[in-house]
Amino acid sequence: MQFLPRRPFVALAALLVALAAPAGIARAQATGTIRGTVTDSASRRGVPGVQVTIAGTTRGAVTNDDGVYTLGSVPVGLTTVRAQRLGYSTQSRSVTVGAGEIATADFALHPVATVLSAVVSVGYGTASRQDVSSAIASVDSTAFANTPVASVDNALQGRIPGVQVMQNSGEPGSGISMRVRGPASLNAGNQPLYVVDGVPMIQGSLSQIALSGQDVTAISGLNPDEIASIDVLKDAAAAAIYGSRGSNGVVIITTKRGAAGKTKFSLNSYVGTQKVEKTIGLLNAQQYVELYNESAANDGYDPADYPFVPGVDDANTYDWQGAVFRRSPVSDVNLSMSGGGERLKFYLSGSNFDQRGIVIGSGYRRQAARLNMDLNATDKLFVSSSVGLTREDNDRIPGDQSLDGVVTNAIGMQPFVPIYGSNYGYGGRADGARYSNPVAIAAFNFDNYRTLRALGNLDAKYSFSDRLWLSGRVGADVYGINELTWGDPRIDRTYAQSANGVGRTASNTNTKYVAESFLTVEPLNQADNRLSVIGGASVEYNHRDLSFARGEGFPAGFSTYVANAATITSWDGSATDNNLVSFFTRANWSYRERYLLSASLRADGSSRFGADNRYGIFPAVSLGWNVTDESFAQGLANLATLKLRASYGVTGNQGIGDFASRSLASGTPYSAEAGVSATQLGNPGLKWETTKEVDLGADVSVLDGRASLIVDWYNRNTDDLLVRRPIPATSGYTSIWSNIGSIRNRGVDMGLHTVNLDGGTRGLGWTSDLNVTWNRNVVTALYGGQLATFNVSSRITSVAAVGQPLGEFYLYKFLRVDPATGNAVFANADGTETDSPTDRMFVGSPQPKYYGGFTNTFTFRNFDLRGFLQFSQGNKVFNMMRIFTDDGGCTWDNLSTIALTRWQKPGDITNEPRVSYDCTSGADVISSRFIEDGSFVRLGEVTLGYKLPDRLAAAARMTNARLYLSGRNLHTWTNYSGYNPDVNSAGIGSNVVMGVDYYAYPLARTFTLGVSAAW
Amino acid sequence: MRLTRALPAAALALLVVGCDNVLTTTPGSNIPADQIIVDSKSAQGALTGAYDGLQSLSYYGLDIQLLGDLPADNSTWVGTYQFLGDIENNQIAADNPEVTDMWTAIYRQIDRDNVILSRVPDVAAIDDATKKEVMGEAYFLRALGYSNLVKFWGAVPMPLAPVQSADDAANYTRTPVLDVYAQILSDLDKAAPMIGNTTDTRRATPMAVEAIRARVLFYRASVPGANAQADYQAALDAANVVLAGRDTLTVPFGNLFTATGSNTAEDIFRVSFTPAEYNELGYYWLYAGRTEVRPTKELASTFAANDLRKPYTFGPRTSGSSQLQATKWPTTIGAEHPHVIRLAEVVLIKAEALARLGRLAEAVDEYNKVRIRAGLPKHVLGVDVTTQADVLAAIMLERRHEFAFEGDRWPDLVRAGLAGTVKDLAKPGYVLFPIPAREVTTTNGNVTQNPDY
Repeated sequence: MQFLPRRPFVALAALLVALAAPAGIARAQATGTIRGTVTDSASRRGVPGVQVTIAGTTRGAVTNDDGVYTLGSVPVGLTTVRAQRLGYSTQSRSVTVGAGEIATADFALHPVATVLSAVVSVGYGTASRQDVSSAIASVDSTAFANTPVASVDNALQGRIPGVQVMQNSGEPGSGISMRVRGPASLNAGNQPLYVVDGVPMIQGSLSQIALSGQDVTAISGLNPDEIASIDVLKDAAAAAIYGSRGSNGVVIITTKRGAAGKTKFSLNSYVGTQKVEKTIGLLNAQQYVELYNESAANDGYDPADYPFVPGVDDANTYDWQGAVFRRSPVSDVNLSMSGGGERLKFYLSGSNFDQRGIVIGSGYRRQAARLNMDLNATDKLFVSSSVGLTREDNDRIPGDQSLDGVVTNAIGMQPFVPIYGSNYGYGGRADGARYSNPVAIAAFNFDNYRTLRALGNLDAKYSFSDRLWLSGRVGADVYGINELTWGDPRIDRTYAQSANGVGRTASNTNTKYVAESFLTVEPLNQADNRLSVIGGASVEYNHRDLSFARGEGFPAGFSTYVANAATITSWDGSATDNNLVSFFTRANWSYRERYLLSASLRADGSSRFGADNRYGIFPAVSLGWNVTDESFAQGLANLATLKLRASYGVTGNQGIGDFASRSLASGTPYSAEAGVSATQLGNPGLKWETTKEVDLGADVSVLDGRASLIVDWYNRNTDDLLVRRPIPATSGYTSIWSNIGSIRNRGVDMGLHTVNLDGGTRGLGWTSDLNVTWNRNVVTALYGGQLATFNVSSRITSVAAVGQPLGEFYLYKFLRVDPATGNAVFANADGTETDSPTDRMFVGSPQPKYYGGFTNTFTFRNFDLRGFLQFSQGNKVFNMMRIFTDDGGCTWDNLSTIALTRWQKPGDITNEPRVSYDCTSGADVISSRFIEDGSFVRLGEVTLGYKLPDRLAAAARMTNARLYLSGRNLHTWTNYSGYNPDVNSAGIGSNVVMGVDYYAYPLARTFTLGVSAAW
Repeated sequence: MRLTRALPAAALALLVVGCDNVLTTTPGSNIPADQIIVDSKSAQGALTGAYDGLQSLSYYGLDIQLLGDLPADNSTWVGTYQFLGDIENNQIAADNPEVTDMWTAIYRQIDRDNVILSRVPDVAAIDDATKKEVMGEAYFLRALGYSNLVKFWGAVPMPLAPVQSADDAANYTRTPVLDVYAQILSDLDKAAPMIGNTTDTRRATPMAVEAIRARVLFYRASVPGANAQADYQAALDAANVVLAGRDTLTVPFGNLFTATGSNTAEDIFRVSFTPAEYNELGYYWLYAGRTEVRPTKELASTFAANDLRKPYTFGPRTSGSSQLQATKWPTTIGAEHPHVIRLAEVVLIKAEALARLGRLAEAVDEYNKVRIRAGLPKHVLGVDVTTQADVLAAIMLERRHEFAFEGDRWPDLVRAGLAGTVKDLAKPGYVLFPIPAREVTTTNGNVTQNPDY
């Protein structure tokens, strides 16, 4: 970071030197020519676009498509020629030129694994990284392959600068929150747009059955094994090509395809075991009984009225957490076959992923198959298809916030209640339990979520010439979900018990059809002057059908299916649509490979917008300058390559309900008669949310590419926020969708890749990847400056307020425990103190000051070792479990061992108020006492691999075989007292509420043993 | 224009027209809000929708009853929602979600009445009989809504027409208490002659209008600035209209609170619920439910051992347990039909009005009807009760027992000036609920907060 400001100064100095230079080389003298071919040392093919220069001069040439260059008018004598290209290590060689002769200087350049080379997807096409002038991050499949998590977004955690991936919950297949360069929306979507092989994917949590914060995600339907690469369009200039859906960034996923040649088979498989990473310290029976009796004593109760009898009630302690957590297996098998001829290529794969949850009753299975075909139908017509089929089967458990939660009840249960007992084999009411038995819940209840998905597209490209072609695409994502849940009447203290069983069945079918075509033309295609322009149109149809029934009252022996229920108590049958019509164009111009210009424009019409605001226009422009290709920077070029980038773009967000802009009425029956009422106040002027972003970036590579840095500064202003603006309830409504308010995200994200030791093929090699993001998020405007509060489980937790980061915790402010009385002391807004607070205050932000990841990879002979650290610093977590596990004995919940440090006698100095039977100590007041530092450093992964010697592999007819042992979530360094500081019980649907831990499913520590082989 | 130019232009025009079609989507399960009242049938549908507003879990589905008791001395919070504990402790934050939701639900219901009252007169396709019936019942529902608001919050904003835009709502200010009462009585005056329904007690009847009129006058009498004696007399007159020829109280008491809400002779107006359109009364009160609240032991101790209402009011939460649960709503299914007002309340209103007017003997006779139904011995003036204060206290206790957990205790204490005696109020203003914080902020302070909050 530090040398960045110095760089322009160096460049400036180089410029001054270069300006003075021409006088010296104007002399006439005898000359010759140097000619040669630059090849890739690995592929032996010619490398186009290589800068070949005469050292110490500004003279140079660029290789053509075959890698051939010619340098004329070279002074006779010994000359040093340098060949340089991004993605390759620079090479110099000496050649003697005779007058009028042609000397040969061939180069074989070594490709270097630099982040600055590869091909990246830019939306409606691809580009070479060196031609890209906007902020795009790329992730290679090795970063997420063979990772024991259900969804690819989960595997990306900590891997991409500027992209914050929050796990929310450790439940297999559960929803992940991804924020590209900070949260920018209050009520509209905050997740990036996922585009798979050109088709925007159905995404989000589409379950109809709320399991209290335990979301699912449609992204989990994508098998990570099938993915070749992921590119994240981060800045608005890059994402603007996706217009009204670009403002949260775009994740472009490219699946694997076949290559011509012998049919290749590959196998990737692992098996593993998982266990909860950490449990919470809870009181044992003696401590529990002592504490509750002390609470009665503190409030002046007669010892005869104490709730428990020591020595009797606390005879046994049962480990309820131990009863609900288990060691559980995870496995993945993926087999693929690819190959074909020059005309027809294919990639076929199938996989089975099976993850049982670390909490009893939970588990996730996915079977996926993919067939990708590429056909050169004629010389002019190229056709390809990509089809992925997925089946998921997810056993969810109700979690967070639910009285029927497994983890929830395991924490809340009194420690003396036996796990097994008289109620159908389980401990229950007769054994003194105040809550439902979580082991019985897991045994008798289920919440099954099954999906079937077909995601695919058919592409055709027709070339009118090598400079003009037309692309057409039809794509579809068809995603059907069936849900079946059962609340068993055998479980004490549940609603299902009093209702004689509750069965729910839900199904919804989501379809998305996309048709688009675009024309690509390259009016200029010389190596040093290239211009390509695309223009096209797209139409997208989205439809969703829903049905749901909830039945109660089942005859003995029946369960699950509502067909046998006595009453249907709730139902649904409805449909919803939204459509999108878009026109887009983009021009990329590259002059002498030094000056890059890209400009794009998209017009999006969305049926979601108000009738008065149907079309949004989203322009973008970006500039790039390969500084070290300049002749004046030749001296510098021996040391480094530098590209400067600047971009500006406008993107939108339309992540609102399909009919949010309309005034609507709904059926509101009464006494079994049909009724109707207006239920939504419309806003015909409703439009997209607008993000304007400036990005200034630099791509730096030094030491022949052994260290490369991509760093960006950005300033994103999101205006016209789509806000469900609160209005006075006297209107009959509580909110109206409006475009109001602004949020700013400003920050720096950087990725540094270094080759610390280049071990060649056999020696010790060491590479490091570090990515860090500093983001400052602030709400800059809201309607009338009015702050808006947000709840978890009916309790206000978070706020959007001008001048504060989004999601700032908004609670009463705890000051201390009064050493004299043991009561909690809180602050009033005016600075005075109180024991019954009424003024909420800003008490901490869930957003980190910085976050990122650090990966180190070592290779030695046939071994490879990879370690991955993930970190997040400065974020606060509202440990909302503590409103019960640290409430001073106000409910009958078991308490956290934090309560052992409680105030017990006058003079005690502590932050734990005295325990109080009548809840008078302030311990149960929901306050900043429960805000904890959520900073963490996590050893996210350590993998040790061993590549079978070629000799052995060949004996088994394999071209490649590797065995590996991998550990995930091995350790988390944190001061957070709950399971996992990387948490959000509000789930992926939540924008403002972040970092709230309300009995979230904990994280698994996983060990896997895997093999990957190809033959 | 040459054809070569016209063709692309035509193609473009087709494309744009086509796009407009693509972008015009129709909600599958809604209709546009301005289409709800177009003829007689839809006007009746809108009225049914207005009744649906009563079913909200934040209105007669739970909160009117729960929040009418919890700040008083009948019930105590034992569950997991701390904001209910705040209500019990009379330490209600202005953003208390339960209080906010009740306010919201009542205004949402009133808005449906306002939509009917403002649109129905102008739709020619509605026949006159329907117009009359629908508007009469809507006037009644609006009066009921404001009577609840004024009881818990005092002066409140009083929209009498549907909101035209979001910004309109920000301009409402609070209407003084007596003006709200005047509007309520004016609505009831309009409703009475328009309502033809006399049999279905799940809907407004002329009898329900009179009963609510009696209650409204009875409550207004204790408002500062009201003409108390005149209001008690008027309440008495209205009660007499209701009671003329029907003073049979249902026996046993439990028949008023059956799981499926069977009709009784005592019904005047109840809100209908089914397993699908359920209330959460039992779910919140019963041990089989989430048990957020339970009766106070103090309440239990004030019941005579042989009070026949007792077993239908509370009992041990499990057999043999010393812990209590309220049993007035017998199931967690929520298909009971809670009473908005029933004959016993009119009897006790009449009794108290008589007592307030100094007619003590008649008052004792009147409230004895309730005691008889409860299996308790009749009070005798001069023996069991002597002074006006005695009689009023006896009536207050009868009301407490008769309507326990039905949401009358707190308004009764406040009305009688006893709230600060029975409960330890940190500030005198806490007899009223705070105006929801959202209302104050979203109106930029046009709606002011109640004193002491």
